Amino acid sequence: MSPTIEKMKPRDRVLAALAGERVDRPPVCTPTNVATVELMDLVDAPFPDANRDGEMNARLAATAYTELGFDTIAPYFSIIQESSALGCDMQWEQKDNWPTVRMSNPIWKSSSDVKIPAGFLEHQDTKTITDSISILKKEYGNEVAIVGKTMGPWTLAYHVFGVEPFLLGTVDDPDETMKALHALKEVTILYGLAQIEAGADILTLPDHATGDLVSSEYYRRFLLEMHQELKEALPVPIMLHICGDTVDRMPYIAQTGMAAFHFDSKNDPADAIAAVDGGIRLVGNINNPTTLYARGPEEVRAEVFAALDAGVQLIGPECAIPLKTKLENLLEIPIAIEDWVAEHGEN
Amino acid sequence: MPSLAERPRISDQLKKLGRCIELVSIDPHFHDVTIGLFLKGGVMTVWSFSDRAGIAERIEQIRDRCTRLGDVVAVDGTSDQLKLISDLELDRALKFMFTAAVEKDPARELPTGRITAPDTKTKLIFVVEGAEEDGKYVYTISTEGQSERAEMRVRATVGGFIRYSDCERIAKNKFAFPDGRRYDEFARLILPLARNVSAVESQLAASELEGQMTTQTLGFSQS
Repeated sequence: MSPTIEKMKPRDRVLAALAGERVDRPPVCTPTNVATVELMDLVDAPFPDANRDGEMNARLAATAYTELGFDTIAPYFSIIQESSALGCDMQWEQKDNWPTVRMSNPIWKSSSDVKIPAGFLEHQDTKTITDSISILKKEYGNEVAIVGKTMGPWTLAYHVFGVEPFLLGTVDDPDETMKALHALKEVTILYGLAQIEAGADILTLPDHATGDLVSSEYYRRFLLEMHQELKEALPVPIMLHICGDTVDRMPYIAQTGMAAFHFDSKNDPADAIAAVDGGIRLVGNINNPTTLYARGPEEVRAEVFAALDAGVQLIGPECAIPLKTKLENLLEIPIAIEDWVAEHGEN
Repeated sequence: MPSLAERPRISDQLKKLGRCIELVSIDPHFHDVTIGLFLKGGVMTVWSFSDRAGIAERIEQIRDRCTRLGDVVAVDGTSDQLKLISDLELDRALKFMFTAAVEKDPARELPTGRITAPDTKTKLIFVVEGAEEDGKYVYTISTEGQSERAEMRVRATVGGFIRYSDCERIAKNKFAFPDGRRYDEFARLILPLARNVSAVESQLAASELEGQMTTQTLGFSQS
């Protein structure tokens, strides 16, 4: 950041920040969902339909820019689109709750079962996102960064094998686990490339090797190399997303070559900056369940300032925001960034 | 894509509305729209970002239900605004009032007359009656019916009023609102909640988890 830089377009700002280049101000970035029940009403695009119809999806996603003033639009709200297309048992829920995969009813048992169905990219639930990206690219692509999302193999494995069988398999037969992850990685690449072709400038890559489920050693052993491969296979900046306490694996994450790591509020921003040691940019980490959901703009502002003070390069909620988040709290994020820059002069 | 240019931006609208006290994500009696209660300068506004046909009438209906569920009055000349009868800050009671106004069947008659509610843990009936005492309007909880636990249940229910309306305990069976004024409708509204705080808290916690994306709600974690 420098006072000599002219005001940037949101898209340019985000891409520059992800490349580690100078920006006029830190971007407000949404690697994950910022849609709320009120925004659904505003554009008449409620859940679950907005997850299953490209036009509705685009209408809702665009509000991140048109109404909230964020620098990105991220149309993939949930984490289930590919899993639905793979044949998982879905629970679509209603307007105020997340669609989920019924993981108690897994569809596959081993790596040999992993097969990408013919027409995977034409399935209603994968096509919703690519259609939406195409619409958004046409409407806003010159101005705003369009963020796609492709689920990583670890998260897909939870969905298709079930959480418990998959995690037990990592202990009982690690080689088989690696085979399964490699097979699922092809889903990640296929869907990521389809979104890039549709117009995505950036991809979020969630892969839930979270601190409350697996150790940092697991990350190094099963995922580090795979994430490096994904970075090579997907030719846009990638924001890796892992929930929970992840400071212990951030030194490994910094070796993936990805553009940024989207991190959780369970990690102190200063600790996170120290852990990645300049190896990767950080996006985050405004707390969802307490700050954005239950508190007010003053508390949001304090967290934005804390993240910026620590040196976090792109600011946004830590994860998909609660669907009942109050809009006044989301609106405060870009305001707080502007005020921080006015106070501090540079990032 | 439809243009949003004709609408006021939400940031401008929120400046007019003020702070959101409560958001009911699904109105089960009107197309599942989201309805909010906002507060600015002592005036509350019932609001929705939906523009479905009939939304203004539904908002007026909710506003009017609020005036019967709580100690609030409609603002003259409006169909969506209301005010508390005093300057007291009663956010929790207002949240319960608003949620009930949106979620309860509008065709259902609201209770009037004596303030009573059956206990959920005994066969007692709680009765709340108020009277002026030493310059304060003091509410007394008594019971009808027989139970060895009556005194304990009354004491717990007074605790519920303290929790949900910031009331002051005057005696083991008596409470007053923070400013010592009379709030019969809030007493009626809160009594069914105050009698079983643990159940209400569980319900509120479950409600708060809805719509949150965490490793727990995604099924990735039990912790």
